[in-house]
Amino acid sequence: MSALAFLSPGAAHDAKGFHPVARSPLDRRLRDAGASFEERDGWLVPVSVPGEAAHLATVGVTDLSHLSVFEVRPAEPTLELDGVITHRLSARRALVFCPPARAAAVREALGDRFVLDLSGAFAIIAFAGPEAETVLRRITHLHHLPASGEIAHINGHVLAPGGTTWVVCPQESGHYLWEVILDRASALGGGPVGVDALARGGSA
Amino acid sequence: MSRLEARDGERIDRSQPVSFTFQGAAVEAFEGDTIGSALYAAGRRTFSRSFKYHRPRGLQCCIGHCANCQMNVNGTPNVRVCATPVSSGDIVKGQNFVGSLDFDLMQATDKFAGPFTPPGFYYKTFIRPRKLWPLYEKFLRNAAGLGVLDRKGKREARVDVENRHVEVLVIGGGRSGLEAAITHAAEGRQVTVVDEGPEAGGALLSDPAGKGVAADLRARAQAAGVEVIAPAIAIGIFEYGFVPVAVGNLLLKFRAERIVVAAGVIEQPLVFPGNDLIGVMLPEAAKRLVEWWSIKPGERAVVITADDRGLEAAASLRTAGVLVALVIDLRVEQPPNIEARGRRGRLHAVSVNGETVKADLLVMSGSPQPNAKLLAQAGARVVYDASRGIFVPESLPENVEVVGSAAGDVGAPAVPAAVLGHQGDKCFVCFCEDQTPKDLAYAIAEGFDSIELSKRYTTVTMGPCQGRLCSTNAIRSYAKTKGVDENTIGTTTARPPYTPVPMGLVAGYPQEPARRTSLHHRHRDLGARIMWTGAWRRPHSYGADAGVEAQNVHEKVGLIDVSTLGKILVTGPDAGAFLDRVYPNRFSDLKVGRVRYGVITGDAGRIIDDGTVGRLDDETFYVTTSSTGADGIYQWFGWWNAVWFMDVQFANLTGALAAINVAGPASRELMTRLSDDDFSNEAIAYLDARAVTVAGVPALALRIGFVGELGYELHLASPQAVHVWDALLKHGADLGVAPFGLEPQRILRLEKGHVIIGQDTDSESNLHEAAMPWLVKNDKEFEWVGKWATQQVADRGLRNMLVGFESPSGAMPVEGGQVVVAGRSAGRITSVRHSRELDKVIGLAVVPVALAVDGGRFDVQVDGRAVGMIVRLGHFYDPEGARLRS
Ligand code: FES
Repeated sequence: MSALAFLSPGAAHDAKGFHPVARSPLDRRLRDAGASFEERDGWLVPVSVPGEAAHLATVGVTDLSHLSVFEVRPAEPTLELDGVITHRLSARRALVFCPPARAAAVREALGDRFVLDLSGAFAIIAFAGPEAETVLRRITHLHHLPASGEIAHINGHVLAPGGTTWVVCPQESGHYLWEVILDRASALGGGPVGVDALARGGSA
Repeated sequence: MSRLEARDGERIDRSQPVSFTFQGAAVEAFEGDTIGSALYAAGRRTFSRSFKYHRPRGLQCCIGHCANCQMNVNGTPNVRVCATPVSSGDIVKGQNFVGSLDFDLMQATDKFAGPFTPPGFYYKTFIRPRKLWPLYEKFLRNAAGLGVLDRKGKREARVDVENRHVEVLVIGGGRSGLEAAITHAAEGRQVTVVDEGPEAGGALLSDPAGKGVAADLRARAQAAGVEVIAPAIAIGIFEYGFVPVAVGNLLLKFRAERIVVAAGVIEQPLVFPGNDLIGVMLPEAAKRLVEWWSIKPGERAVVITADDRGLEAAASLRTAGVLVALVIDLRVEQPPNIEARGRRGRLHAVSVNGETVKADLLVMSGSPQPNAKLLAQAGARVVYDASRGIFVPESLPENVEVVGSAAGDVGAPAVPAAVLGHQGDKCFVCFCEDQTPKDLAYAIAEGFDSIELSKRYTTVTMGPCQGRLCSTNAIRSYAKTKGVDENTIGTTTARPPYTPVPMGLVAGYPQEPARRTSLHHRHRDLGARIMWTGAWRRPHSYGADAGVEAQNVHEKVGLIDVSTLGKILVTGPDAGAFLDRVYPNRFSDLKVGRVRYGVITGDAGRIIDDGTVGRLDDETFYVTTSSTGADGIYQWFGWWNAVWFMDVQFANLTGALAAINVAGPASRELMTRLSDDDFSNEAIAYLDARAVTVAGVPALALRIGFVGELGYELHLASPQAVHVWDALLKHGADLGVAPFGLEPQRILRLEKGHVIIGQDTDSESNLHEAAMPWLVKNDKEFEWVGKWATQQVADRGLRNMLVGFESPSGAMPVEGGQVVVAGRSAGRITSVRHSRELDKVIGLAVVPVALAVDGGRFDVQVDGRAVGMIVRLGHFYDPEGARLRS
């Protein structure tokens, strides 16, 4: 086992009768919204939420914190793999996002660069719909995407993959930012949705 | 009722009646009315009471510029009703009176108090006896003022803040603003126009011939792709093209590459006796009443004007059937003596050079001032054009332009005298603050001879109109009294907001960026009392008695969520050498799998943080910091390596990892139930760091003992924290496992004499006087940060010392309480708690170094009396550390 295995949520495994399942920092928020969860690739994932179709008509918000995230140094070369999103922070650093099922392959593809598994470090709040841009404008001045900077008084990143908007922030600020985004979204008629509905709603 | 027959271009929709209440009585209005227009149409003429003299005031500008129509609308004071669209069910009330708006008992101040209330009278009259000042203040505040806030009122209206980026922002949607917008858009730029009126068009909207022109310009702007937002008030122009714009309860934060100011003009009053009587108004007010809301403003009018505006108003009034009895064009003649006469505060005649004309309406127009307030805020110079009596903007900031009348394109108005009449009623320079030319002359005589000083002393230009209607006249009055020109007097500093906006809008939506650990909701489920520690929300304790939770750690096993600890990975060939430089003690010799305590000092040798350092492999160290120190220490490492360029990398893993401290005599048994790893003393000794698997989750176990018992601090991926926490509670139930919060942790660490940085140290604390000289390793190859300064402390000799103490009487001093030696303050208590385990009150204190001996005595004030304390060196609990090493 690598010295940093304790950093990887995906390194957990069934042992001594225990069945570890990873939870997003926003798990409770989605639960409170009545979400149905499924275990997918070692994570409890909110797949659907009551009222999600109506929310998506304006802006639907979901939790993608189960995605695997690697920090890689240096940033180049950028991985050109399907479903893998690279957010370059500087010449020296990039964040690489991928589905947990592909984490091992992506890690391998990153080669012998300095790579940290930061899959537990972030809350990833995604939203889509006609009012998504208004929500974004009501939480941050960042507009040339992808970008990093202040979002509702904390530091984070905004990505725009495939017709959706992702706000990525430290997981410990996830509840706060979820509250803020949900507040803005609900004022516009939006609300929480499951990850499957968002995947259908966005063009991703 | 003063409503006219339906007119072309009126803004009201007579098919849409709206009703609201004023002072409890129903008022009928139409869609398109403002509250002010509806009240006027219903016959109301007194809209407010003035600030100081409680004189009745009526509509003056009808454009939201003055203070005359401020009322309480649905509980919100100081709403300018002339510019507030009427809504069904509105509850409207007058403000700032005793009795009623029409019969205000406080108006006695106008009749009797005038000579006794010059500027600054309250500084002179209400000073003795001094102890009565609170009473005087209460009286003065009640007598004057601007409405009353509901102290128990809650924020009801939602506010939002939205960021916008545009290439060109045009402020003002009149003719020149729309034309500029169309031109910029035609050149391919993205353009937004904001206008404070109900729709873009500006002065064109109250001109019968201009309404069509405005509609045409709006259509052309729309076709060119221009975004037009109205009503929308630009609050100020700030650096880098930042312009906040209030749109109802939405604050738009524009960042514009270019700003075009097309804010038009501000109509100016004239200064003559009775110029504040009800019925004396500015041209746009008269025009809007007629052209927008189809209201006949009066029966007989007099017009006194310095430009065409008054003449245009006269034309509008005639179409409404008002008899215009007299028009004085100041460009043609300037009568030396004008006086408005009133009865019960309402105009009934105008006297010009002694000749009296009956009138219930007087339209006055001084030289129209280019609306350059926003430009002045942004840094433009504003220069007086003596030939036209106006202030013109010059030297505009980069990327700001001004067009139309705001640029000074106002024709050639007359320059009115500073005061146009000298007998009769009071004449006002500043309507908001009830300041007269006499008041300003009085201030000059008292030495407040600059307009900026006068602003502070008399409050001229400081009222709700923000100097719009009084600035020019005040400057003119100052120039005349001092015998200098207006440029010499200069203008007062223009400050945002250009138009008053609710504080709630500027504050934005309330939001608190709290940090929560991945176990936060488990703590809530367990009934924890949550408290703030820095930006974090953490459990204070889970039950009523923190002492019980602490005892459970001594006797059984406790769990505490320490995920808030900073966690920094330091890795690379130079990692050990780097740590040797940022810590006073040595880490390059730390063995793989071992942990060592470290304190970080700044350049000045002051303690800034502490934590542990574990070595994971030859080149990788795992550093923990205090909960509030994580971000600072991460940056600290980066800054220093920007100086040293060592081959080392840092990663802040604070959020990525949760940490659970499992502590107590039963902790080993609990760990073995969840893990196949060997948790014996031989396998994981005190101050060891080991990779283990707990309930199937890989973790780094640090065997450290902040709380003084056998314990394992488990660091693991945050998403797995709930699983591990639940497993620990479930499988330790029969061992008596229970969570404990920060408060019991503070008791436990105090029993061991463990320091909390920031609690037991302050910004002056150094290693020697914080009783940590054992951390100072001066034999290292390189200078460590703070070495020189720390040595200075040793060389100059120690003055104070952080020591443990106990309270023999059991009295509990307060944290921060003064240590008293020989009747003098000589130190302070930094921490104190009652230990159930020791059955003692114990603590830490900074005392003079002479007292830092076991048995040293000092006093502390407890409940007003000196209570003796005894110094105790060493740990209060388990001094040999046997339990930690067990
Ligand atoms: S009359 Fe309403 S602000 Fe002037």
